Amino acid sequence: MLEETIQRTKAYYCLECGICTGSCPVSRYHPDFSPRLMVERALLRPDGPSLDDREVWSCLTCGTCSARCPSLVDYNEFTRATRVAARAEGTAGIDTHAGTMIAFMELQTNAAGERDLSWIAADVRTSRKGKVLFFTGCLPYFGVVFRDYGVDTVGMANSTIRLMNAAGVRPVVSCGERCCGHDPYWTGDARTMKTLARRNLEMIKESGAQKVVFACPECYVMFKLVYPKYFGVLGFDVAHVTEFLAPRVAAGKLRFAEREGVVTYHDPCRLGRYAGVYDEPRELLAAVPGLELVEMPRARAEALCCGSSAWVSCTRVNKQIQLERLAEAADTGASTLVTGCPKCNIHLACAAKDGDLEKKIEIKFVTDVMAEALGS
Amino acid sequence: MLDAGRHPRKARYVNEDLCNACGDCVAKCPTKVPDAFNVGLGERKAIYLYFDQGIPSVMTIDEDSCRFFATGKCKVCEKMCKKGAVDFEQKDRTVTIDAGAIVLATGLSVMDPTPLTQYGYGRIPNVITGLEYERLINATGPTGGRLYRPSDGELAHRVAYVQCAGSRDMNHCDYCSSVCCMYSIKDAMLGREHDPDSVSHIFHTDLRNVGKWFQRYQIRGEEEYGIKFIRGRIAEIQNGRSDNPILWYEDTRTREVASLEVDMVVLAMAALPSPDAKELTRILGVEVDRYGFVLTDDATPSSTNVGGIYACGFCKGPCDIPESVAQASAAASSASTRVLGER
Amino acid sequence: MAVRRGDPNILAFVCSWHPLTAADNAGEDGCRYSPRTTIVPVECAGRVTVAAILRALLNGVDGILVAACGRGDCHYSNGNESCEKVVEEAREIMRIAGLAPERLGFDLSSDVDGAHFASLVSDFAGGVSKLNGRSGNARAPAKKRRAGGGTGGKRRAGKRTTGKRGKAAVTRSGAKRKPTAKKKPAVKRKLAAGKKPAARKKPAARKRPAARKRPAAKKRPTEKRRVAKTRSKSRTKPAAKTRSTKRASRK
Repeated sequence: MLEETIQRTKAYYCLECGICTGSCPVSRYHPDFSPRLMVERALLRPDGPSLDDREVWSCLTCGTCSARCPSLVDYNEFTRATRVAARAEGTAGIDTHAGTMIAFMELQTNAAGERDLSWIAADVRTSRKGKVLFFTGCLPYFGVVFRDYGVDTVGMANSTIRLMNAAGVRPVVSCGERCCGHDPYWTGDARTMKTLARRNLEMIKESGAQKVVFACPECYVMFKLVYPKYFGVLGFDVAHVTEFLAPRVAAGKLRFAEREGVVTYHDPCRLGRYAGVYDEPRELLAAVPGLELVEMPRARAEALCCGSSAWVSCTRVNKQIQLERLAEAADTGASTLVTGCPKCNIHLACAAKDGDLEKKIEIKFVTDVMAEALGS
Repeated sequence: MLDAGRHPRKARYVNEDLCNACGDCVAKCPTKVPDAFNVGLGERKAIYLYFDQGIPSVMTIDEDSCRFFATGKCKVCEKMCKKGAVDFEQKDRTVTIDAGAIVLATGLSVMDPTPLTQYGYGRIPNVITGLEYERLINATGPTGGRLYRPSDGELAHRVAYVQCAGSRDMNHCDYCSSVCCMYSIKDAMLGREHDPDSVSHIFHTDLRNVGKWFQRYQIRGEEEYGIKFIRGRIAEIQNGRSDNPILWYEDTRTREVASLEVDMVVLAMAALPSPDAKELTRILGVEVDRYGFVLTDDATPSSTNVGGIYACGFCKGPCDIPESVAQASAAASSASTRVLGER
Repeated sequence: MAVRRGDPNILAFVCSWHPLTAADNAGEDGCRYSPRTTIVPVECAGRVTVAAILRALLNGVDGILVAACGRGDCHYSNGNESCEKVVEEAREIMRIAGLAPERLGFDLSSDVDGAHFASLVSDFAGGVSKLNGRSGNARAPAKKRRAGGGTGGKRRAGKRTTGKRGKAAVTRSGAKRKPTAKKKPAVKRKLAAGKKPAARKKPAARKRPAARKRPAAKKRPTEKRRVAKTRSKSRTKPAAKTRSTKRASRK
């Protein structure tokens, strides 16, 4: 079953050099998990024991191993394909948050009706038809689940639209929107992803939008990298909100008021290693006068993962990765850790809430920081 | 037979027939600049000898940093030279040489370590390249052979060698640079010879010491010099307390992920063809492979696709010194066969 | 009671302590309530997750009723209160997803009277069938909802005790949905057998506590436990650890 995966991910090129496992944030805290051994086992017995290996659900699909692999083995795709195979055999990972996330994502395949848009703040302007569509993703849903974590994902969606408004754009926000299917896809449920994707593509086609802007990098990479694999050319442009805003800020369309403070930026896996967007968020932060951006030692392509992904398997190990990242951020002397991904924000905020950190650091989403600084 | 070659010749502002490299001019020259030969680790004067064993052993004035060329005043070296060899009137000239054959021996350059961001070269002060280490450990180098760390000038006792930095890596150079395993063992041995407290770790993918007695050399390094060989490529390097680099790796023998704190890290960078070789081979019409190495036929390993042009050494592909010497002999004899005719 | 076309398809998560006793009594007493009600006993209402509620909706039920013990009466100290939060969260998620939050009913009551349970279900079913009457919910037109219906969501089929797969289920819009080819899991078969309240009659041989028939307004937990014990032999709850003593020891 994994034979085809081995061919597709070029796993047979493996040199057994150990870079993947040495790079893996999970392996450092969890000796049972090793990307190298996962591939090794599959190479030795393509139809054998890797499916029994529950550690296949421990992978964060952060892509650090793939980025460093000297043989260009695509570990993320390997993990995903193994999960598809594992699912076909009836095993599954342990969903985090008692499966709430995956459940509301699946709910959107058929049972859900038109999305409620009452979360849109009174001061932001959206339109019914237009060239630019803002894809909100799960932000309104997360708003319900993560209220107690001090993470306002609805606020993130609103601040994103607010910035787009400031740039002179009234984006379409559609009630026909569905989950992008990122999490089902990465937990090996491509069918749910395809159902959701078809509905989204239909919705965007109907709206007539030519550019779709995302606040969540996961939705963004799904549209940018995964949907085209299944549905061909999409027929519209996609951009992360930082990519959308950066040229407009450079052109002077948005002005920011003076803000005191030192911030550091956390590169999300999806936006960074997957989509290669490193500079735009930094350009945005640099546009705020008075705001100083300091870099963590592990930044850009070397950025440490926020420690959790696809709402599967969140253990002590994941918490330790998150605390490590928070400590790294605090060590820069920054008072705020700015993330480019709402999910990174959620995961890190969760760890900050539970863990005993020597130094506290505030965690904020990039559009929240920017929208707060909007001014003359 | 080849027609002729035009050879631009830079003015060195020193008469080669008179200069005896006594060094009086260097002693008095007021301008100091980073020394390119010591990969920027030491300084040299504006008038300098490229390196001690260089041939011809003649001083050169670096036009870009010389005070006289910048301000029109100085000429201290001219005053100091007892031989009267300094000549500011020299001009660049083009020399035309009639040649019967050309031998390409453009050698190698090393890969820029900055794209390997996980190793933090440039960001972590005590991560250096193999070439920098060679200069530090060299008795005639900028530190007189003592391994002072770049961060604080303290002696580095614990040194880690990172093999295959950019080599055998499809993101960078997918070939084996072939010389790193051996020179790293040599470097580690030198380290112990200069400092009895030195502890060396060599992190390797596979030790490719393929040559006469090479395996024995490795064993000697392990037994007599206490070098520790760990099979596992370094995944990333972090900067620890007091600028001690921390290496993260998987020991693939024990299957354990571990970290090691050391005083200094030496990156065995991938070797590339010389950057000028690209332009030279284009001018000459010599075929190169996708890496820029000169293509030669297995049956006639010295000959290029152009008659009368031969190649030897690293410009043809990775090889060590003995092999380069053998290739040079072969290329020279091929060239002379062409010029003098077969007997 | 015959199943009529248009009767809402109700899934009830019922706490095994007070509410399930009430459901049992409803059966014993022959109380009438909505016939298309599937009772899923849960050890404690606190065990009900948002995911279970949403998956039930995904699998085509019209309404979900969660019955928990009355405030202060939870056998496990606060399961009913945490359940209240779960229900609140699920309702908000349903609202965002464009599903009427009224499709999720919640009851906090320690009333073990069968009539209470019957009226609870009937009232809820009535509300749900009104929602069904106006084509499912306030926002989504029925035919749009049905487009691509049945795709996805079969994740871990058979492991959850929600929904009524394998039987012809009536969707909210009242149209027949094709039965899925999935084999009915064993758990469901058991549930289906106990679906009709009338069929919930216990074997005559089973000993019934004398005081069960007309319980006081608030049944004593010890009494109820005996009922629970007769229901299934696997239920082993130490009689000494009543809720009241536990509370006392805490103080």
